[in-house]
Amino acid sequence: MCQVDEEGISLLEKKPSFGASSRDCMKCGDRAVVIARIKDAFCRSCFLTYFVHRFRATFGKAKVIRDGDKVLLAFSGGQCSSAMVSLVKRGLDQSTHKKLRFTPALIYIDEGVVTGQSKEERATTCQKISDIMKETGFPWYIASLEEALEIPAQNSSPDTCQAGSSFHSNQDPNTDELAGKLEGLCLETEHTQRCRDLLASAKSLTAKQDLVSNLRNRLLVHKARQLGYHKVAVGDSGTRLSSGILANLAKGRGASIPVAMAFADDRWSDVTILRPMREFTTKEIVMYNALFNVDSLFQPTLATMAGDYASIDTLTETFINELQTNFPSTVSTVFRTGEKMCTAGSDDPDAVRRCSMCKSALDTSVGISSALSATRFSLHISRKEGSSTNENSCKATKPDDATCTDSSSEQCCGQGDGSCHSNQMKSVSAESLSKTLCYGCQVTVRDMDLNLLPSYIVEESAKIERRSRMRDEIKDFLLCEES
Amino acid sequence: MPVSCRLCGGSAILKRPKTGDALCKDCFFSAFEAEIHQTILDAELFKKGERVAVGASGGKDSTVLAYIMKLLNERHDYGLDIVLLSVDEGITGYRDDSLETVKRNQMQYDLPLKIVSYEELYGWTMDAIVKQIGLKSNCTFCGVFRRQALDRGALLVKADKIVTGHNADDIAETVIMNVLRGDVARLRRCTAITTGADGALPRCKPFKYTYEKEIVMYAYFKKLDYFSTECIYSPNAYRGHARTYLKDLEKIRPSSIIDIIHSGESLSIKKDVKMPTQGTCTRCGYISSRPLCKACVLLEGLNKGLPKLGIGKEHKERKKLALLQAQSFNQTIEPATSANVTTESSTPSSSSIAGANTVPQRIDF
Repeated sequence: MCQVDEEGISLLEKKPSFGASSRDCMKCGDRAVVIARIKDAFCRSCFLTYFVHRFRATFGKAKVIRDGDKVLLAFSGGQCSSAMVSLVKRGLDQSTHKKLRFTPALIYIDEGVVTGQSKEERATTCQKISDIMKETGFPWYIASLEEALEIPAQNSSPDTCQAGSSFHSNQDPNTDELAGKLEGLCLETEHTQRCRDLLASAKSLTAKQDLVSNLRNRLLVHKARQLGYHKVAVGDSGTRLSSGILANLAKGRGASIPVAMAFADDRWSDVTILRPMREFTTKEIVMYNALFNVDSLFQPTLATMAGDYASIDTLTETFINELQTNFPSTVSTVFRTGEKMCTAGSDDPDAVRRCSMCKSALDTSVGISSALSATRFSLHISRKEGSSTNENSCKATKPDDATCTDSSSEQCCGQGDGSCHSNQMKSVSAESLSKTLCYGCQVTVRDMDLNLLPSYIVEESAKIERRSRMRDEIKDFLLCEES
Repeated sequence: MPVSCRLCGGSAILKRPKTGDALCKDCFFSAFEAEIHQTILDAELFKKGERVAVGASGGKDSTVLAYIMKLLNERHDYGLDIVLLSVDEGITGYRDDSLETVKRNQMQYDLPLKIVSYEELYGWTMDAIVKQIGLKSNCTFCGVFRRQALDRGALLVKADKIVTGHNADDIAETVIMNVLRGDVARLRRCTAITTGADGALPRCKPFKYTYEKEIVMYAYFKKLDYFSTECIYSPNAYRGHARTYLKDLEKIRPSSIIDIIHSGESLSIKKDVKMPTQGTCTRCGYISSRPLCKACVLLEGLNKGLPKLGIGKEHKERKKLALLQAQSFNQTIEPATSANVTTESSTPSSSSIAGANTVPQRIDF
């Protein structure tokens, strides 16, 4: 999840010219070895105190975790999640006061399918990761990304705790028969090819990355549910979240910024995603890992070597990092701006209509004067015959109306050879799908083949459609307006 | 490789940046015009019989805006009385040339034109200000002064509304800027199509959903006469970052611009976040969130030979102001009853300032 930040490392080596060695620790007066935040010089031990304190404070402030809670730590092998695991271990090991009070376990999701790795390569990676995870002494699990395609649509009552077939775990970290288990594990199922096709159908890297992170989040939540965890901690750093704020803005996902950066992401009702590393910059995390010998494993992702202009995410990350070097308060300013945002009308989280893909609140019921209806009008006017009809038809262009959404169905059906219709799977119409997707996911889906979408999206959207049809039938007899 | 127009089947001449569709010239014109008309209808921007001042700089956006406002007003019978309003910042080699364009537009479109200048309003031209402040931060002066100048000019021509040529790119850029600067108050209102409805004159942006590229296309194919030169004083560096980022985004995904505006529209700010309350400037009566509006602070700085007064840290600014006021109390005891008097006594041309001071007082009632 987190990449090696080469900049952070080179900064660390450049330190002598930077003048940190000539400075004293601002806490104890010893010689400083790192500069945290903007200009706080610390010696090694004070940096550790600061770092650990901040981590604990992030948990403490949020008051989300109760004594004895089980928390699943999403471990990717990258810098941030490695640091997170190390901090949790430290917090539990400590015989001193203020011990962390939850029971952790690790989960690794193998994303080899995304970068087209062979079965053997993936097995090697899983082996390495399992070695690292074994060392922590926590229970650990491994899953593969394509398992996300098997996830059934989310039930309103999530009590489906059947064990996944290709799902492997090792509750006892001392057993040493992992290699065999890993061999037979995840890699190369029928879903692997489907996952590849789905990714290949995405025309832009931006859509691909969105899809992968969507699959990953779904799978994390799904696995947590199966294993009986209600909290999943991910390693996203403040730097990453800040560039996420801007990227979400650029992708039309403004409405989901608050949940996407919150400490406790509650868009899935029964599983909460926690972001305990959000108060750290990537640089601080890399420093911590370097100073305290925290191992991490670099793994290529879609964005690796893709160039700065490959996708909205990569561009935004570059943009934020460049600004941050020139204006050191960029990340924290953006972060604080994000913290001041909230989702409109989020009084009752259960009543909100949610996107069937990303589960954030639907942002498509906007007024007549809005970017959404203006775009629909543009598509309508430059694709349909006759400018004389625009007067009346645009009046009908209400946000949820389907008149103008057929443009996307044209896109979808136009590219294949009509295979959309002949597909044996429960195919989904772009029109009904767009009703259940948020603005940002509609943009993402526009770049993909609808028939390959994961069933959890399709089924859920079909379910919502059925529900709304049911509602329509009985609406005359309903006494109060409920969503 | 003849591409056919998606609408009429004729030979297409362009690909719409907004939707990616190939269109011929005429279909593009009608689509472009219909969209602006739709925006105006949807947002109920105008009422019949209103007098509307079009902020005209001579640049592409405002030239197309003036043209299309006149066109739509006649075509759809808005019943508007359209006036061109220009601000002369006093930048030799830039604004004087672009004002010539505006004057030509005035003749071509047969619309009345009013020009207000910084010199007559504030007693300072931008040239003179740049001499004082240098090439850094001069855009702050220009931006702050122009905002007020437009309002004052619109009041002079008795307009009910101001329309400006801000396009979708401008708005998306402003959203990004406000996030980067952490300006939550502006972030909340920068995507509104009409602003300032409660305080002074309402301003609206009919091009809110119109891509900059399409405006250029429209001007290009309509052969509209506009002035396209960058201001000779250095462009605002930080905004430049946001602009580059936006252009790069557009290259990756052309819908980004509208997507950002959608994001901006669907943002809401937590209720417990402190927001500046809008009041009026105690000196000139213009809307302001502080006792003194920014223009008055900047002006005072200029007039007192401390041009940096209004730039930089807030607390430093306040401290300096207090210091200045204390000094002025000590120095001139007789007229020092109100800050207003001190400004007048120290300006080079008190007659023009007196004229300027009478204008905003009309805002009060």
